[in-house]
Amino acid sequence: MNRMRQWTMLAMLIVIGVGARWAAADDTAQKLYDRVTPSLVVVQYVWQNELGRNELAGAGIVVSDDGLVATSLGLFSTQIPDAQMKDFKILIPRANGEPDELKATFEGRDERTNLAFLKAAEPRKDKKPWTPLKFEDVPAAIGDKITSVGMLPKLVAYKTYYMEATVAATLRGDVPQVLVGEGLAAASSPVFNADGKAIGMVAVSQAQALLINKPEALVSIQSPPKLYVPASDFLISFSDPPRAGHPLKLPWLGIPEMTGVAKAVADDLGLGDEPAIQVGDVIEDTPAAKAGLKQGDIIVKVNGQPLERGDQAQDLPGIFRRRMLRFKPGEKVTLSVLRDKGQPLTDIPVTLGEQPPQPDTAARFWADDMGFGVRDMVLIDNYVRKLAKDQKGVIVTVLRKSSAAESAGLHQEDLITQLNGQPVTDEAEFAKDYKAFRDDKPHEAVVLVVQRDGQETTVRIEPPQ
Amino acid sequence: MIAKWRDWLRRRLEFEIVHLRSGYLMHSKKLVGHGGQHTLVRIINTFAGWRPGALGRIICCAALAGMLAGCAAAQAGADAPTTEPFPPATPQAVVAVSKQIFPAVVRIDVAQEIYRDGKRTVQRGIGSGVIIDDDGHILTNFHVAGRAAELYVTLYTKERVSAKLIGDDHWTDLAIIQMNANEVKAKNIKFTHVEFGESKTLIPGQDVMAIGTPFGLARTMTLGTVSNSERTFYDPNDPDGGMHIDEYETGEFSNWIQMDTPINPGNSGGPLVDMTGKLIGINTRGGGQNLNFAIPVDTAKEVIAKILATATPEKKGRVDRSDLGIDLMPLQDLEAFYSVDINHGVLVNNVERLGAAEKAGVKSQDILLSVDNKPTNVRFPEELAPTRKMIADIPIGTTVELTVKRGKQILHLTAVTLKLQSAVGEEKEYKDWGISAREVTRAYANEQQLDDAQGVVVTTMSGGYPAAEAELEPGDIIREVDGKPVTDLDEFTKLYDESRKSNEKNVLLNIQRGRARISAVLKMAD
Repeated sequence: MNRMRQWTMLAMLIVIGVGARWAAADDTAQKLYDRVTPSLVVVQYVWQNELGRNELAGAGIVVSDDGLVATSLGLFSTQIPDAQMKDFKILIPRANGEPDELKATFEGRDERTNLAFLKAAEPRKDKKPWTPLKFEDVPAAIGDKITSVGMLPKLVAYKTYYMEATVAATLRGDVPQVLVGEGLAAASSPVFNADGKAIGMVAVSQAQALLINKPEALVSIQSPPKLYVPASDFLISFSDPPRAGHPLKLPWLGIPEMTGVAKAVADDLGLGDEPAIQVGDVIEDTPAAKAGLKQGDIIVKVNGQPLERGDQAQDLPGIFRRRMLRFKPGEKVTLSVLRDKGQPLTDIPVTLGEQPPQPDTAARFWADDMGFGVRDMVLIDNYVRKLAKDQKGVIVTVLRKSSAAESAGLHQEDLITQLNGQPVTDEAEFAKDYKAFRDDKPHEAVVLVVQRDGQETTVRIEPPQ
Repeated sequence: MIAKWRDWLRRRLEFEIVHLRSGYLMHSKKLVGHGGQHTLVRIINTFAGWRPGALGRIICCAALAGMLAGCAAAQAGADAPTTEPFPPATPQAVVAVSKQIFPAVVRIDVAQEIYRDGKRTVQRGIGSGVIIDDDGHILTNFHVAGRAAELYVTLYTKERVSAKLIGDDHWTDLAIIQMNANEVKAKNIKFTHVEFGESKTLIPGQDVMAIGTPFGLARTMTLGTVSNSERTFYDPNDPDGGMHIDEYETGEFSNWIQMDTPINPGNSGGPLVDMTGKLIGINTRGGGQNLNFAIPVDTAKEVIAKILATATPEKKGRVDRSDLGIDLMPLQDLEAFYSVDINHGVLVNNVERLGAAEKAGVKSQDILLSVDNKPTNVRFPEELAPTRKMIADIPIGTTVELTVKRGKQILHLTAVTLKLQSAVGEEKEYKDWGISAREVTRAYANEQQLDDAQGVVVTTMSGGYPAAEAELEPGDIIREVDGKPVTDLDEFTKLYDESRKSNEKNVLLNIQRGRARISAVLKMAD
């Protein structure tokens, strides 16, 4: 059955290949294909979490001559703690035979551009130099012919393939994207214009498989993606990429909730056609709060410039957030806000802070015997749960199915505030006290007090016999 | 053929059991009401669920049920002791009781008020009821006749008369309606009323009969036995989950009678009687083919008395209860941990914000020992309902002494009870704007972690109307209309009416969505 499917897929691919050859009457296509192929690699790593191991692999593009490889941030989800990722590899496909495997280091994520970076940690086995691909900010116009060269899934031996398409529309959601008529090679593949310049990267959408070592990857070939992100959106990553041990420091404003101002509201406020966003809420003690931004303020300008337009009002907060991410912590930004209808704009200078620690960087503890894992709280936990500022505790991150903890009624995302009648301060204390109790009284139940949706409840976990 | 039907029955049973379980495990924050709103299948037949072809299944279902009942009756007749007060279902007794009870049982055709797509509309359904006095008062379920806009009653004689909702109480899922006396007189209709029995003396194994209108099949009698007389649906994995029918909190103040008497959608509100023909319960829920549940008559007696005492020609009768705003948890296996004697006190699992106990200084993890010196001992889940009822029965606004144990200390705290509120507030339609909205009650605010109980919450919306155009969403809380604060549903209605009268072109709303505040403009049609 599986074999059948593979053969069908292969047959389809041959058809695609033949079609492509026909389309490119001269040898331009072949030249591009030959030039680009050496820049395409596979990145692979192991996600070892509390419940098991997962091997993840996706397409990567060589971007510098020292073996730096760019790939999609989606492959290195921000939910995965760095400590759980290991055995990074760069696979260099070969025309005949298994790809060369090179050890690699994880250089980090760039949330400004939705890219992640790996770097080879050993010399190439074939002794060839790295062939970096240079992206350029060249806008594409409707009707332009473009091409893409991508990486086929593992099931078809990580071969590269070539596709042609026509620019159909330019879109402006959170991320600018270009829609094509026909179809593009797999996610994270480079896109070229008629001059052979790399002008974009195929967008990652949820419908298309990002992992190319899983059978689902074949779906991407059956229904190829149709959107790419123009290089203008991610060039910044190459001039200032994250480096191992030096994660990018992201700026922080402290406005977790914003809404794009709808046309009717803008008209009512006399804003006319100007794009604007409304501040939904401001977290206490953040740069925004300190600068005096308030709930309900309507932001109309950043550093004197109007906000970037989106296709819909609801895209505006995402566009604004991405715009803010491109500043540096410590930088001063002036936001012009409308506070009351009919009043002139108020300029509010804000000194951006540094983004506070995120859940994936919080310290974690895994109670294997009872089958639950916890992590330290971070600022955003406090905010979303509406907790008092000084509330302490640890958050349940993971539960093993049918474990003692799960059957006792512990839920993922529960905030544990007490362990055996003692208040929980942080992960380290919790781990210490938990282990001490289990060693001391292995047959006694662990009694936790947890907060869930604002309600407290007691959870008594019977130890496994 | 039979095998096929049996298969269908089994699948149906499995489905319903899965339904039941998922109802408990689910803890989604729905718009209103905490979680599993379809906890168990409610036994009301609605036209929405009526499909051609269903009748065939029902008949087969009934045939099987009849076979089962027949067996049970034969066995009961052969083996059961004949001593009172648990007379067995001898064939003679079954026939005698049927004859006695049928003239007191009615079919109820109802149009219940519901809000859908931003509009007030009705949903039609069929249920059952039992006549309780010579004035033509009929006891039924809240989920049958509560929120009724139209009511018709079909009697044993097959005559049909209109009826009126007298009062209801969703906490116990009971409602009282009354037949139109003039119509009864004009049509010269004769009826009898049921005799009340006692539910506290019920024992598992006792034979019982149910009469009702399953799937619209009026005057259907079925036979079975009490399986358990103090069933609770408390789930330690979801202590806050409780029980809901539709969105309404139900069953917190009494345990249930569980019986294997076959009941089906449409049986809801009908009587469960013992083999002397006395009313012992109101058939309410079915969890599967032989897992059925009735509200005990002892609960019903109190509710009837309260509803009839408060009902006036203008206003529905109701049951008022006190609330301390605490969530209680049985102490089983936790006694040593909290250093309390076995069967002494109850764990305060959660103290609600804005509640009476919070004001009195009660903290979660306290052990509540007594309320006004009445002990609150809950070791087992079955003891929760009686304790909750004891608190609920205190007159609203009473100052009570709460004795709590906190660590080694014994504290005497003073609380003033508040009126028990549902998370489901009063609802109205606002046609021109294309929304229906509900009062934000204290209970709703608590459940949704709102900072206060101000404003109204949008429940449903009509596409193409100003609110939908302005991208409002169900769950949004409207806090201001044209800059004026919305305190409650009455105030909102007032502001809506004013805005309509002034023919405003643009209405500026201030909306609370999650923690954000949003401005929205309703553009009114010319």
